[in-house]
Amino acid sequence: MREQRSGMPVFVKVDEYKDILDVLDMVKAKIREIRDTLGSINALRNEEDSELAMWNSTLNEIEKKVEGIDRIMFEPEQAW
Amino acid sequence: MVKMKEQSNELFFVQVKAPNEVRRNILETLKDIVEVLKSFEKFKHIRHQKLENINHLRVLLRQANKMLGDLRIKLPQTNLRAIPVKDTAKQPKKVHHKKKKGKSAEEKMPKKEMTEVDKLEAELSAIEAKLKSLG
Repeated sequence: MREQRSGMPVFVKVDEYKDILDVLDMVKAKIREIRDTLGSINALRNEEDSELAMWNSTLNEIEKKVEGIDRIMFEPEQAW
Repeated sequence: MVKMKEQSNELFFVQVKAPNEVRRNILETLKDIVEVLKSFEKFKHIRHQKLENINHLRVLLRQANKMLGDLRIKLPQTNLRAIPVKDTAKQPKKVHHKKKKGKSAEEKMPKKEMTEVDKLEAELSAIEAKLKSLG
């Protein structure tokens, strides 16, 4: 096994260096795109949550109204 | 008998205490239910959009993974930080050997059983091993 020192200088060919920079730019652009998509997923999740919260409050209202109807219907006015 | 029949045919009515209120309550409840149904359609649309975005995200992550793989290939292959120390150098060899044995056992298993998660786990362990070798 060949022994190598840490901290040794590494050289990259100029054309390969340019390729590396190009790939790095592409990776950075991709990461930006990923971040945007993640942001929109998060926004959609928040929308879902608010819809669910609205269902919950509407259901509470419906329940109250049905209870009101039930109360009125089960307490008929005595005619005699 | 005739009297009994007449009695059974008689109709009785119960007065509703607040008919307008009952009617209003029923209509409002109906309105609420229709609104919830409308909201459900919106919810379905949002969920569909979210799933599309998640799939898009998966594609983007795969592309980024491939790009980083390409980048790794383009960078020079060196083992600069693999400082050989007599004791520590022997141990990784043993581990490496054991891993090879494990791999050969894995190779015997059918490849079809490898799920996406398994593949990613294998990739992760390979990256972790490389990171360890870097020190």
